Parts: sequence; structure tokens; C-alpha cells
Amino acid sequence: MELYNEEIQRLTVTPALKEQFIQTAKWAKIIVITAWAGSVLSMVFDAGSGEWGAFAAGFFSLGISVAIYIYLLKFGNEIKKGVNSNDPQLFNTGLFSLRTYFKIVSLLLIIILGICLLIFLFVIVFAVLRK
Amino acid sequence: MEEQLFLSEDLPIDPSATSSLKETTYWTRFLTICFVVFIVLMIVATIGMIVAKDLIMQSIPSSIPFGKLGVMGMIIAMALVIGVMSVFTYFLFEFTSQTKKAFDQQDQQALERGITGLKNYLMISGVIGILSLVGAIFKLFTLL
Repeated sequence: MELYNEEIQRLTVTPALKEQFIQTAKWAKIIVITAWAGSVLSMVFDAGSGEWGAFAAGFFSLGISVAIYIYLLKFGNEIKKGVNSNDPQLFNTGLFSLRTYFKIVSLLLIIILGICLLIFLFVIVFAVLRK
Repeated sequence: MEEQLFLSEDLPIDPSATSSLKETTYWTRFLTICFVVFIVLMIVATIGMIVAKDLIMQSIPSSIPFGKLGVMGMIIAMALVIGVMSVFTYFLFEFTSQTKKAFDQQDQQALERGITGLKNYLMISGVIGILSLVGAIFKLFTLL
């Protein structure tokens, strides 16, 4: 508790740091827009090609994209509002959304790496059994 | 006017914000390690392709147009990916290490460097996203 009190006294979001946060929030929103637009375009291509399997995969990827980037969008909006109105509550919510975003990205990466490892092991076992 | 007034004031970083930023750095450290492993694997694959370039080129049938150029293009593309990923990873590492240092040593300058690292990381991601989107729109126009 003492350490926290010390942290409150020492570290602050200075006007220079506020500017950095506003720029960060702006880029976060750009990433969200490009990611969602990219996912929708990818679905349009798949629908145009007439491959419904690919369209379903595109729809699934859009769902994942929305689930991930909604937190980055929340971060961008709340940090900007929090910094502009000097509201610690909104600022904290924004940082919490950033934490959730990186957590989801990391967990997805762990799942993908796990699947890759399983495929790798499966291929090795299959190759050994074929001999 | 009121907004400008607030921007010139300091905003305190309370325990909740500290906790969120600290936990963010744990996840970004994990991502940085994954990116470094990916870069190392890409470097090994690129070196492998450069070493075995002649062998790969010989195995490509001459009936395939631009087959040999494709191998060179692939090596260049892999080098480009390594370059972009390295810059990308450097800024994420900068955010992770400087933010951790800021909370461990109560260093205001380190916190500013850390957030600048996060801004640069998101900026590069944004630029890559914009370029990919422009590419996809061009592809859409060629299909129409």
C-alpha cells in the first residue's frame, strides 16, 4: 500500500505524455478501422469467388477480428476522453482495455502455437508409423 | 478551451492504472519473445534459401515462367519481412522494458519513453494495415 502511495505521488501523466497518449489512441483507432475493413473486403472476395467454405472462414475471421479489436477501439476512445477531460476513471478504463487487448492477442497466439505443435507432432508420428 | 486547460494539467497515475500497465507489460513481454523467435526462424530460413538458391533454381522446370525470378523475389520478401518485424519488435520491447523500469524505479522519463515505444509500435501496425487495405482495394478494382 505504501509503495502504491509513493507511485501516486511520483508518476503522473504530464502534458507531454498526454500528447503521446492522444497520438497512441489515434493510431489504435486507425488499426481497428483498417483491420475491420480488411476483414470485410476479404469476405467480399470470398463471396465473389463463390467459395462458400472460404466465405464461412472469412466470416469466422471477421468475428475474431471484432472480438480482438473492440478492446483496442475502447482503449483509443477512453484514453482520448480521459486525457482530454482529465478523468482518471476513463483513463484507467482505457488502460484496462489495452491490457485486455494484449491478453487476447497473446492467448490467441498461444492457441495457434499449440495447434501448430500438435500438427507437427501428428506429422512426425504419422511419418514414423508409415515406416 | 476547457479541453486545452485540462491538457496542461497533470493526471495522476493511480494503483488501478499502475496495475493495468504492469499486467500489459507481462503480455507484451511474451509477444516480444514470440516475435524474436519468429525473426530468428525467418533469418535461418532466409539463409537456408540463399545457400540452397542454385539447387532450388535447378529444380524449377523451365516451363514455369519467371520461376527463377520467383526464388529471388521470395528471398527479398523474406528479408523485407525480417526488417519490418525487427523494427516492430524493437518498439514493443522498448514499451515493455521502459514501462517496467518506470514503475520499478519511479522514473518519469522511462514512462514517457515506454509510451512513445507503444505509440511507434501501433503506428507501424497502422501503416502496415493501411498499405494492406490499399492493396486489397486495388485487387478489388482489378476483379471488377
